[in-house]
Order: sequence, then C-alpha cells, then structure tokens
Amino acid sequence: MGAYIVRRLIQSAVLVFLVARFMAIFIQLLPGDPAYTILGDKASPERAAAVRKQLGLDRPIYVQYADWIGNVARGNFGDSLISDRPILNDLAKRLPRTIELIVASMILAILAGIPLGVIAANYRNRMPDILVSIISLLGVSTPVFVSGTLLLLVFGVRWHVLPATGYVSITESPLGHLEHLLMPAVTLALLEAAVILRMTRSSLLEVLSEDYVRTARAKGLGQRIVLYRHALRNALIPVVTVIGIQAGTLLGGTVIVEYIFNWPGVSTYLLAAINQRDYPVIQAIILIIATLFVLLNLVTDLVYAAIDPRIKYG
Amino acid sequence: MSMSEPLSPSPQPIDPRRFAMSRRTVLRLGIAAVAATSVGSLLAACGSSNDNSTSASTASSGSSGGTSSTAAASASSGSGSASGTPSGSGSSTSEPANVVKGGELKWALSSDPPNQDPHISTGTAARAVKIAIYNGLARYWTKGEVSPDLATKWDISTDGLTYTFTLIDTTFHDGTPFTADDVKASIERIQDPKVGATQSDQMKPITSVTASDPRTAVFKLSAPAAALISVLALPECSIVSKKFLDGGGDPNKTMMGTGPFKFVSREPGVNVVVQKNDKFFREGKPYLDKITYLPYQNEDTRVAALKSGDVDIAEYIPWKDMDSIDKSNDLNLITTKGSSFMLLIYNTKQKPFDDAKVRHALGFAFDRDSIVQAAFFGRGEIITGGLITESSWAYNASLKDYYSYDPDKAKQLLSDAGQDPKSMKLTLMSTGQYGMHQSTGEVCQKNLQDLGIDCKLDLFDWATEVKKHTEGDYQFRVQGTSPDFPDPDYLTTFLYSSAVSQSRDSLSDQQFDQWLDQARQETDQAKRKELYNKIEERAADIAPYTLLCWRDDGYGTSKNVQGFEVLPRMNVFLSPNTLEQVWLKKS
Repeated sequence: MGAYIVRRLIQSAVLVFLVARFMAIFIQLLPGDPAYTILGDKASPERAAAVRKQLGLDRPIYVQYADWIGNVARGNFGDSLISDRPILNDLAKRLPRTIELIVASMILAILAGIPLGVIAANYRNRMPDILVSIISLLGVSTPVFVSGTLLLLVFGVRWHVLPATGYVSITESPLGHLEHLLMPAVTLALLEAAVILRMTRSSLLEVLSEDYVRTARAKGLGQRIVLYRHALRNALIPVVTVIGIQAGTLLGGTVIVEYIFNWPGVSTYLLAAINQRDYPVIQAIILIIATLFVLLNLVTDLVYAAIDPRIKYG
Repeated sequence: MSMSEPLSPSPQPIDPRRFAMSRRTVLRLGIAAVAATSVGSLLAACGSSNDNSTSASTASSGSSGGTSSTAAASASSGSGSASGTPSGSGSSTSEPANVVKGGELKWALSSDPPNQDPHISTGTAARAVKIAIYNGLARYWTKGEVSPDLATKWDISTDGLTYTFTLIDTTFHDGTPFTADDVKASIERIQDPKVGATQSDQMKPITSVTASDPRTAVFKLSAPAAALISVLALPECSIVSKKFLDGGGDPNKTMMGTGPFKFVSREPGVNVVVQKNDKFFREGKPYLDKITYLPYQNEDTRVAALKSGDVDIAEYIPWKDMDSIDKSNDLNLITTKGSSFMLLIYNTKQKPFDDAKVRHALGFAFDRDSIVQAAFFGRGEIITGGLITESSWAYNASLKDYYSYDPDKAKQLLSDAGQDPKSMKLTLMSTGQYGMHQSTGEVCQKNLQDLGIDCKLDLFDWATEVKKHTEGDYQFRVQGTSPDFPDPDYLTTFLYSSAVSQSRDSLSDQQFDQWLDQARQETDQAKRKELYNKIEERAADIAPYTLLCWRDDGYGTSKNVQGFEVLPRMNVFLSPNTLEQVWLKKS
C-alpha cells in the first residue's frame, strides 16, 4: 500500500508537471497581451513594447518558463502582471473559499443524493421512485448557469430571503458567511446530488438482486437490515467513485457559480486573469487546479480500498 | 475612451425587504447543513466587510429616466486673457436641510479595479475608487462645467502661455500639508514617459511648473493649449503627495490623496473600503462615514445585487435592464444621453478601405436606428453628421443629416468608386464580450450583406480585439468610445495621425494634424470654431471612420440614496465626483 501511494504520487507529480508545461505554451498562444490591460485606454505598440520589456515578457518563452519553474519550486508564484501583488497571497485567500464551496456542495449533495437514491431503489417503479427520478433528471439536465440564475432571482431578488451575491468572511459574521455560501453551494450540489442519486439507485438495485441478499432474506432478516446492513455498503463503492469524479467536475462548475454569485474564489480570479492576460496568475491557478484534480483521483482510489476489502493495491 | 465595456441580464419586481426577515430566519435552519464546511474557511478568513444582511439601502436624486443631456463643451477654455475663476457651481454649497450624516454606502463596481494609480486610466471601476480619494486642481461638476477643486482660481495670460493657479490650504490623508510642490511633482510624474500616464500627451506643452509660493503654482507652456483646463479637471490629473513619491511610495499600491475619503483596505476581488476624511477641505463633507466598493464582473449579478438590496448604487447599468430599474418602486435609474458613441474604424492601409470614396460610400449603408434598437434598447441617438454636438459652441450645423440610411446611394457611390458590391469580400471585427459591440456588428454585417457584399463578422474577446486593432491586424472594426473631456480638442484623439489611441494603420492625414494643432493653439473661440468645422467637414468627406450612434449610460440606485448626481454626456463616469454630497435616507 505504501509503495503504491509513493508510485502514484510520483506519477501525479509528472502529470502535473506536463499539464503545467502545456498550459504555459497554450497561454502564450492566446492572442492579446497584458501590456494592453496595464496601459489601459492609451496603449500604443511602442508603449506596449516598453511595458512588455519591463515585465520581462520580451524574453524567449523557454527562459520565462524556466524562470517560472525555478520560482515555483521555491514556493514562489511571482507577482501578478496587472496588480503587482504576490500571487501566493491572493491564492492563499481565494483557494480556501473555492474549496469551501466545493466541500459544502459535496456534503449537501451526499446528504440529499444517497437517501433519495435509497428511497428510489426501495420503492422501485412505484410513486416515490418515479418522483425522485423526475427530480434527478431535472437536476442532471439543468445547467449550472440556469439553476444558479434562477435561485438568485427567486431567493435573492424576488423574495429577499438570502443575500443575492457576494461574500462575507466567517470571522466577521459567521451567519452572514453561511448565508452567502448557501445559494452557490446548493447550485453546485443540485447537479452532483442528481448524479449521486442515480448511481445509488442503480447500484443498490443491482446489489439487491444478488445471491447473498436473497440468502439474507431467506434467513428471515427484515428489509431494513438487509437494505442498510447488507446491501448499501456494497452498493456504495461505485457511488464513491462517482463522488470522486464529480469533485473534479465541481471544480469546473465553480467557474460559473463563482461568476454568477460573485464568490471571490480561485475561479473568479482565473476568469479575470484570462481576460487581462495575466500569464503568471493563469499558470499558477492551472497548476493548482491540476494538482487538486490529480490528488482527488488518488484519494478516490484509496477510499475504494478502505470501503471494499477485496480491492488491494500493491 | 471607455475601456471596460460590460454585458447584460434580467430582473423582477421587488417585494418590500422587511418581509424578507422572517423567511430569512427559516432559511437559517437550512444553513446549518453547510456549517460544517465553513470551519475550514476560518483559516482563510480575512477582513472583508459587508454585513450582507439587509443593508441600509439608499439612493435617489435627480430625475430618473434619461435626464440631462447638457453641454458637450462648456469647459472654460480661456479665450483671451485671465479666464479667472471658473463657474463654481455646486461644490461647497450649503447642505440640504434634512441630511442624515453617517452610514455606509455599498457601490457595485463593473470590475475589480485593475490598478490604483490615479494617473493611469484603466476604466470606469478604477476611476470610481480613485475619485473618492484624490482631487485635481479642478474637477467636473453636475452640469458638465469645470469647477474649482484644489485650485480656487486660475489666471491665464493673454498669450495663453502662463497659467497661475491659486491653491487652497489643506492636508493629505497622512497629515502632510498640500502645497504647490505637490502640484509640480504630480505634473512632472504625468509627463514622465516611464510612468505611462494616460494624459502625458496633453501635458507635453507644459515646459515648467514652479511653486512661486506654497499657495501658487505657475505653469509655463511652450504653445497655447486651449483644452488644458479641461484635461486638468480629469481624475487622471489628480494631485499626489510629493513627500509620498520622494519617499519611494508607489501610487499603484497605496492610494493617498486629499479627497473626501481615505483608503482603508482592499481585498482583491472582494472589496475596496474607504472611510470619511474628517479633515476634508469642503467643510461638512462628506456625509457618509464609509463606502464599500464591491466588484461585479458579471453585469447580471451586478443588477441582481442592486435589486436585492446587496448594494446601494450600481454603475454601468446594462441597457436591457434600464427599463425594469426605471419602473421599480425601490430603485432609481439616473442616466445621461450621449455618453459614448459607436463607430466603425477602417484600416486605411488595406484595400478597399485605402480609398476614401469606399469609406464615404459605406456611410450610407448602415441602418443606425436599428443599431440603437438592437444594441441599446432604444436608449441612444443616431449620428448623421459630426461628433461635436448641437450643445457645443463648435457645432457644425451644415453637417446635420450629412449621412443617412440609403442603400441605393451607398451602392451607387461604391460603383462610382469602381467597386462592385457583389464581388466585395469584407471582414468586420468586433467582440462577443460586450453585447452592444456584437449587436452593432451584426446589424452592420446584415446591412452590408443587403448590398450584396460578402461580409464576415469576426468576434474576439476584448483583449484580443484591442491588440489586433493596435497592431493593425484587421480590416474594419466596431468600436465604442467616448471623448475624454468636453473641449472639441478631443477630436485630436480620433483624428491626429500620431494619436496614441489610433492604430498604426489608421488614417494619417497632414491636413487634420495641421488644423488640430492650430485649433489647440488658438485662443479666439470664433477662430477655433471655424477650424473645428472644417475638420469635421473633412472627416465626413474622407471618412476615416463611420459614426453610428450615441448611447445613454448611467447608474441605478436605491431610492434611499440622496444627493448622487450623474454628470452629463462624456463625463458620466465622473459622477463619483458627487459622492461627497451623497447621504442615505433612513428607510
């Protein structure tokens, strides 16, 4: 197991390095130029060239990249080209907000998805199942930008029950913080809950038709015990996979959700950086997202082993 | 020129906010579910400032709907000698009887300010913050006029070569007294090419600034500059502290001025907080204790924030939302006519637009009314003549209705120029990032296709478009921009051959340069008018661009906001000048 983890970590590091390498190339291929953002309205090619020189953007790309890798290895992401602020400081504030959003939505999604999935499986093809299936179908097929906007308009603008937009730090007002978190988290959770629900339902149905379940029933165990003690645990293995994969998808979903609700996480930072062609910021964020994604996959794999003793890594 | 151009979304009527509180409590139960996760964020939490819950909403003032469309050019352009004290309207007048002092205003910015340096313009959002913190020698006020600010008056010598500013007695936020040396240091900083200041070209005629005593600054010019005061009144000519600069201070990192509000904190992407400057030189002002600026990149979210009461004022209201805000019981819409204009710019180094006759012909090809409808929901005015509007002393009445929507005439003129529309292939560049740029492009494309021209529309993101334009990598493009200041000298920005805002491949015309130079150096207004009239006639004739329409722009505010006024026309985004007289009515 230990050797396996080490091997996976090395693979992950290589993967992250490659992602960063390709992104560095692609980012530079983006048309546009940070010099024009900095100069604002009165940019001329001459002034832009001067600013590029000042920023070190006139050097060959491989020099810039080597420089960057060297800095990152030392834990320094450099300064934003646009704001001049150290990127690490900004990321240290923003990354936890994005992770918080993802974790909150995952918790909501699991709390909603698994019980509903169990209900659907338990009442297969009866009214509760049909209802739950319709809900999940809606959940899966509604894009985040539609559900998010609807929530915002209904709860924020029309009813005023929740703040429509923005962010309050938890130290300042814990309740205010949660109020601001709720709608973005629910928006993200909707999508994921639907997927978890469907996976729970189908996986549970499959398990329920297996021999050992029939044996359990033949022993005279009640439905409750069969369902929760015997079937659910096994049925959850594919659900965990889905949750792991979904965590990666959620990372993508935050781009839209943060934008809609003005949540100041990594995604809004990335979006602004792309619009302004703030190369070092884009590179830093992509590197972090890639690392997170790879680590999530690793954790998912390890969780399998914990749930299912049949799975062994060696 | 407006750099930041935003998008648009939707709205619903609003229930009274008190109603909300009870439901809110119910929702709190639901929130508990999420609570667990937030523990982690304690680590990351750091001082931002909005107590989200029902913030005191604010706002109102003036008229709603399309209000004042006043003077395009009313700045005191010193004709003859000693133009003396400017029209000191508004500024430090007595306070309204029922003013409620104190409180926090929440202002929705259209983007996270890209910089903090007062001398480098990076758009509307950054300006809204800088204006609260800095003052210039003069400033624009609510009728579009230039009014005194750090200078109580200025005298201009008869030859237009010496400007003497009499300065007020005040202090910077750090307690340092403001003197003529600060004026000198600021102007020299703007002139320094290394700084890249937005108005550096306009400051070129200034050969020296001397502090003859702490209260007097004397500018010597190499040639008369008729628009100098109009430029000095812009926020990009704000006065910064010499001591601060000499001490190695970086204005892009620390904002420190003489303005009504002091910089408190900035959390990138979250907020900028400023608080009342108790020692502000206009006594009794400002009324507010604190302003929290909240960046909203997404215009739909910005409008939602206004409608939900998350913010008290939102800038840059998208045209599609103006109606619903205007009709709302809780909100006011305050706009001005003709803040910016839309135009097509031609790359005159490329065929077929190297031929003035072709460009001229296209002036008749576009259905400008449709553009106003499609891009601005009717909130705009078509341009059929020149840029200088009827309200200006330099208006050229003979150009009225010079252009019209006349496809047959356009075809005829094209064939006169030796072009067969059926065999022309054109590519129009615009951006999909801003709805009105895209819609304008679509209408123009359709109009050209109606002539039989094979016209393609290329939509890039804004940054790409700006770069392609500056480097001349385009055939013709949609642009939305505005004059920097009300003096007709702004034509320089669009027509002068070395103008920085022009691309390398736009028209370079010696005649324009000569007349523009003459008009700038001329102190007799009648002679200036004559020159500008000739310039505009030539511009209509050889058409370096095709003017399409003016658009309205404005702000949405909560009805509790009092005292906020929108400056007319191109000065609309200087409306934060009135923040010092804004107060919040208790609801």
